[in-house]
Amino acid sequence: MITINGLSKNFGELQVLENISAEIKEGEVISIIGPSGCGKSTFLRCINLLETPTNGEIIIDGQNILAKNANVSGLRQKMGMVFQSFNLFSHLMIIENLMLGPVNLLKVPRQQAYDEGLAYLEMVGLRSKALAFPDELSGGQKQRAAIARTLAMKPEIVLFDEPTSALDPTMVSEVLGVIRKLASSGMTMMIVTHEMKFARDVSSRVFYMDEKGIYEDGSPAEIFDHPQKAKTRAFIRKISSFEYTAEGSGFDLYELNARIETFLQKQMFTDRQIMNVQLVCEELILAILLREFPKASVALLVEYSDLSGEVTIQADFDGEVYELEKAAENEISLAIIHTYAKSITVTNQAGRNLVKIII
Amino acid sequence: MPSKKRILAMLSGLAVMLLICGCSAADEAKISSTSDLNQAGYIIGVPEGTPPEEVAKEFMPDAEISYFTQFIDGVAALKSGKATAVIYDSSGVDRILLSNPDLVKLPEELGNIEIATVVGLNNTALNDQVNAFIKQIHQDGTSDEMVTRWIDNIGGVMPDLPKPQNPEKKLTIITNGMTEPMNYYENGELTGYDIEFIKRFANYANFDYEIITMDYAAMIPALQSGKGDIIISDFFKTDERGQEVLYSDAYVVLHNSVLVRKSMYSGNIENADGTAIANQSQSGTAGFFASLQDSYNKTFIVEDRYKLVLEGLWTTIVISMLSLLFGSFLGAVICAMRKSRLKIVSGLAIVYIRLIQGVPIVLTLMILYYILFASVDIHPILIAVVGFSINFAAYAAEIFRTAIDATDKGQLEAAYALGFTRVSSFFKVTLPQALRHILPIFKGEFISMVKMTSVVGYIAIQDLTKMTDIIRSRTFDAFFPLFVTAFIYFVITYLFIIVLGKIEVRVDPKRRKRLVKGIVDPEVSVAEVAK
Repeated sequence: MITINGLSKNFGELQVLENISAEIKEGEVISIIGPSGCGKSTFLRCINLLETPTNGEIIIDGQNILAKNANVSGLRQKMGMVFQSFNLFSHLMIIENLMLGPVNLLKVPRQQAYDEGLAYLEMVGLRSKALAFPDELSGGQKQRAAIARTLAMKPEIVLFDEPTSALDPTMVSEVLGVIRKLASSGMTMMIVTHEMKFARDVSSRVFYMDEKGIYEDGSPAEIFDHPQKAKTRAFIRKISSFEYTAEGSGFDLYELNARIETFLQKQMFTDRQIMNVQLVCEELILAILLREFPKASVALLVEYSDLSGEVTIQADFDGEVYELEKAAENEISLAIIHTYAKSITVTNQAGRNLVKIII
Repeated sequence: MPSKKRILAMLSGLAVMLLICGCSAADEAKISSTSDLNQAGYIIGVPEGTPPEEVAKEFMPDAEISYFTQFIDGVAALKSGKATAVIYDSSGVDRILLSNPDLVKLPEELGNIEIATVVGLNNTALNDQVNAFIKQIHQDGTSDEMVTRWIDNIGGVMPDLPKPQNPEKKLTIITNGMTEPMNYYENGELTGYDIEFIKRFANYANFDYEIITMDYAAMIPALQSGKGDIIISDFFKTDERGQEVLYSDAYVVLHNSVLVRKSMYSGNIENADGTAIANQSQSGTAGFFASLQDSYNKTFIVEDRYKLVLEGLWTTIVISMLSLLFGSFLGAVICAMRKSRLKIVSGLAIVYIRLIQGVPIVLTLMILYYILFASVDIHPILIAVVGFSINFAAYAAEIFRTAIDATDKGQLEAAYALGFTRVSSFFKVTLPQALRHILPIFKGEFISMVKMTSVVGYIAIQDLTKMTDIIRSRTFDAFFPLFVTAFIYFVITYLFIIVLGKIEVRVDPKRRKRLVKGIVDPEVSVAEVAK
């Protein structure tokens, strides 16, 4: 149905999308997930040319819509779009919002457009709000009305651009309910969303976007349960991570502490919790590992999991099998670590030692 | 109703102001001759660059000089105490005395005022013709006859003097039309000494003519820019102006006369103007209403002067409405240019807006009239419409732009996403919403334009304000017409506000009925909507 070849988008000097290729088949429900600012919305907006791609081609029904003579308005009629901020026409009543496109663009008689409009409103549960103005509705109602307006054009595909991001948490489910219903009716859809559970339930295919492109593409099960790539994995587990390499005993402790602090602040940690993590890292690296191996290059990885609420600190370095607990001079430092840590494990694989502390 | 209340408040305000003006300032009677006026602190009103100004400088060097353009404005200054005395020609002063019993003329007359025609410096041929004509009427006694008819007596009747049958050329003659007894309006027709002079001269020199009226200040520029061929308008001959234009010989000689308030006059009143005038000032409200009635009659009823007012009102409305129409259209074009993505186009629009907003409308009009359209034979009203349209367009463009920028860009995107083109999105989504932002400001801008049209008198248009001046120059009633005109402006702007207010309601979606166009039997009732 839609074939995308080598799509790129630059905003001035800044490249947002680089060489994206994908194919969307009829009836597919594709969720687009990924970290903020990875170009998910831009990608979606490029498909119906609200943003003009810098390069590449988008072929819909055999027509390249980026060709100069392409009928952009005609193509957009077949492609509905639901916006994060609803964008209902504020000077028109809800039913008029639904009628505007069909009457003016599809040349549907007004009475027929009105009747069909009421049917769509009924479908999204807003029949009684037909004669209301947009600002008389709640956010969730507005978004459902906006979905009905899109459907009134009888599109072949509907693009959802973060349809629940501007809603109160209490109103998210009513909108997701409508989208879910639409998905089960066989409508082709692309949904940019941050609702992971919803994306998993509703979609037939998931694009994980990162590094200016579709980083990983697969079924919900593949992406959510067995992500193949590191960034996908980290993202799916809602894990954010922080890496640092301490080069020998002369490394910059203050820089490390500052960066741990910045990272944990973003995760909404309290100052005390941050100090604890900093302390554990300092004891582990400076007091234990670098004293034993002054020339080693220790790679530190601090991860935080939203789901379990645990902080994992991993340090790995080259060397012989190292038994942490056996070194007597580590006693004090270990005691400190133990007061905070849930578990400490040390493993050695292929000549690398890995110390893993979970707090 | 609030509007009725407002009108009542306005009326009572008007009455209070009239009452205040009716009370004269407390004066001390200490002036009996011109030499008494030579005192610091006294203000002498004179027309600029004329014999009366020379007289004031010569005889009253210690007093301060204040200038007026129209004699009636000088009289108004005198009556309201802004001036101590006013110097003007004897014919005008005598007429003023007739309807202003509170003023007197000082007994001495201070030298002559020569009245002459004026042509451009290089139009010596016409000047020679005028001089020959003046010589002839002086020799054959016509001149004396005219002086008797217009200046020595009151209520002169114009003899029947048709235009020549086979004219050799057509001249445009500039006159003031507000200077009784020389040139003034009676029953809507120009008449007076100057007008008879014009008619006789036309027959003498065999030409067709058109008379245009304007302020004295505008006459010389009009002559120089070719808007007129000759000024025949009680024009005072002076050496200073003689360097820029060509004066004819004097066709009438008048005298400088000094006018003061009677309350300041300490001489014998009988001596002042030869007749004893009874003290007419009545006291109390009865007197006030009687004088109001009198002013009303003089301003509107006598000689059907209300027709002049209606004519002026019509001119004002025509200029306002046409300028609104063309100005809005041009404003939309400028706004479109302003929003153009081409830097040069939007730059041009910005330059236009800054330029027009930065120049006073009077100057814009005068530049159009005297320079750009100087050699084009186009009705001044059209020039006014052009002037006000380009002026209004600059403001309208900015109003449009602000309103368009204020509409939600997301809704525009939603329209694009539905498949509307840029143009139809603008008309279906942006415009209906922008109108709501536009109208309240637009209304104010339009009203201020209606009032601004009162300056078109500068380019020889007889609008409402100008017509009032013409009536004032005839009735010598300095104040009543001012208030009436102010009131008429108030009423028409008020009516415009009401009409535009109705449109405002129509474009406000929240105030229209919840009916869907073209749907006969809506299945959803309004009651369902109201939760």
